Amino acid sequence: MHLSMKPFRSRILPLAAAIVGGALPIAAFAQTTATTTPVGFVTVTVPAATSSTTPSSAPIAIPLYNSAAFQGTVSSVDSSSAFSLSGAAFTANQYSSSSAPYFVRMMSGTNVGRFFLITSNTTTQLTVNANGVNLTTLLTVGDSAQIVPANTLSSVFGATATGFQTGVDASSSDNVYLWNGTGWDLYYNNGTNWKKSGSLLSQNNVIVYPDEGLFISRRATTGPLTLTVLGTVPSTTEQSDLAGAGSSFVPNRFPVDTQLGSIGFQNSPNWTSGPAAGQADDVYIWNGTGWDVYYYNATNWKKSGSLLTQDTKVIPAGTAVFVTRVNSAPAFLAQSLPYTP
Amino acid sequence: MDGDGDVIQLGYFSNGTAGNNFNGTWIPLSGQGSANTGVISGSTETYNKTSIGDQSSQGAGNGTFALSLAFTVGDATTGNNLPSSTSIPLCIRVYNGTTVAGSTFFNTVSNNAWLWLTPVDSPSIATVSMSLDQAGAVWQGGASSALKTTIVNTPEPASAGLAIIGGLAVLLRRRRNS
Repeated sequence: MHLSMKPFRSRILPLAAAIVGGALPIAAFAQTTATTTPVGFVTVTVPAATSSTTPSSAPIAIPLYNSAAFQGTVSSVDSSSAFSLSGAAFTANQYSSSSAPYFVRMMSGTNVGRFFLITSNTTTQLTVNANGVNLTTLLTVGDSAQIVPANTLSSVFGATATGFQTGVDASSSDNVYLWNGTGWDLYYNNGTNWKKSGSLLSQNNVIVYPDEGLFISRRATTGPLTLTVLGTVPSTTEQSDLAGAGSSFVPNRFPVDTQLGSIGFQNSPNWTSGPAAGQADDVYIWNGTGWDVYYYNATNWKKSGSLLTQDTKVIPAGTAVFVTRVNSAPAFLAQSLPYTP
Repeated sequence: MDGDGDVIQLGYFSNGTAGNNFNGTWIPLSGQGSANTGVISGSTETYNKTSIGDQSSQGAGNGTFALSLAFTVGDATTGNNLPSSTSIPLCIRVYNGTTVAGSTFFNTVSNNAWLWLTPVDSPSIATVSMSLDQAGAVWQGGASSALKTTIVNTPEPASAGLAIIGGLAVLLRRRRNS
């Protein structure tokens, strides 16, 4: 799996300050610099299948955002699931269409890095799916927020899934798996649309949440599946929900490699450490053919079936890990920004 | 060197259950006597060679073991004699010699948390993580036999002390047919 990131900064270089008027002294070398949010691309590769009956597989992540449609600050927190933004002049429900879903990302404040799916909007107010949290305790007036288009299967991979092996059913196609909280939903492309095994409906608008990994199984033997995704590079801490006493499929939220010891699972509230994988919250990392189990023993990361310390185990950019927690309390992973945007 | 230590077997008892872990016939899935002859992933060692001191690549040395074994249903080299029920607890058996026939004592440890799981296709996960650090270990020779080989294998005198630490991960896969 490869990743390339090419952030860039746009600078507006010295604007001549030609102020007429003899009374005002002008600094001779004054300049103005404007910056844009870095954008880049991520390339992930799923190897070709070794045979038609032995797919190859890889977990992938999309650590980039779409360009912001709006940016403002919280002017009021109106309820447990609604807040208003300064400077807003929206069209009612322009951000809540199922065919064009949007998230609101918190860009500052104590909950920077959280995001919420917009379920409806008025001219100034957003109502969101708060995932069980109470926004009145989470947000503060003045917090900065961005509205961004959500990634969907068709926006990420294209409606006709160029590069994928398409087919009339899941067993003849490359497969994309999304974790639904208790099991995997299996998607494939029939050459026209994304479909879900067991459904006749188009799945083009299925949302790929920012804190959600994808698992791809490649059936084609003709060559690897190489996917390149363009987008805005994250520029804040990113937060991922971790289900309590359950499982989550969590991506590396940044387009750079990280290490198990530094990604910060063990620092998450309610994370359970233990002397053995069976007594701890576990992180499963794909090894190319299966999952290796890692756990934190309160001092170091360890791997089930190994006596070595695993703190420096690399979680590559563009991949995801499976997290299974024994602790019943929900938690979240706050992954710190590993670079200067 | 891997594979040359005292014999260690991953296995189960044919009628074993949580609470009655050692009931029935012993069936080894790895170690000498196992019908599984595949090569362990990331190693040159085969499933039927597991022993104390394995695997050096995972930090195990004398008196320790650390193994990760993947069993695939239907595979001729890693899918033999798999448990038929998810109510069967897995066990680790250790002998005091480098061959079963040449060993005089053995002991077996199990845990009600080490239940066999139904093998699955990726990306689903079926992994049994087994550690002697884990609470709830039960020893075939009784609680006082913990970490010792006390059960007579052949009518020879003496009991050997055993200082082992270790962990074992068992990954269970279904052979993909689609």
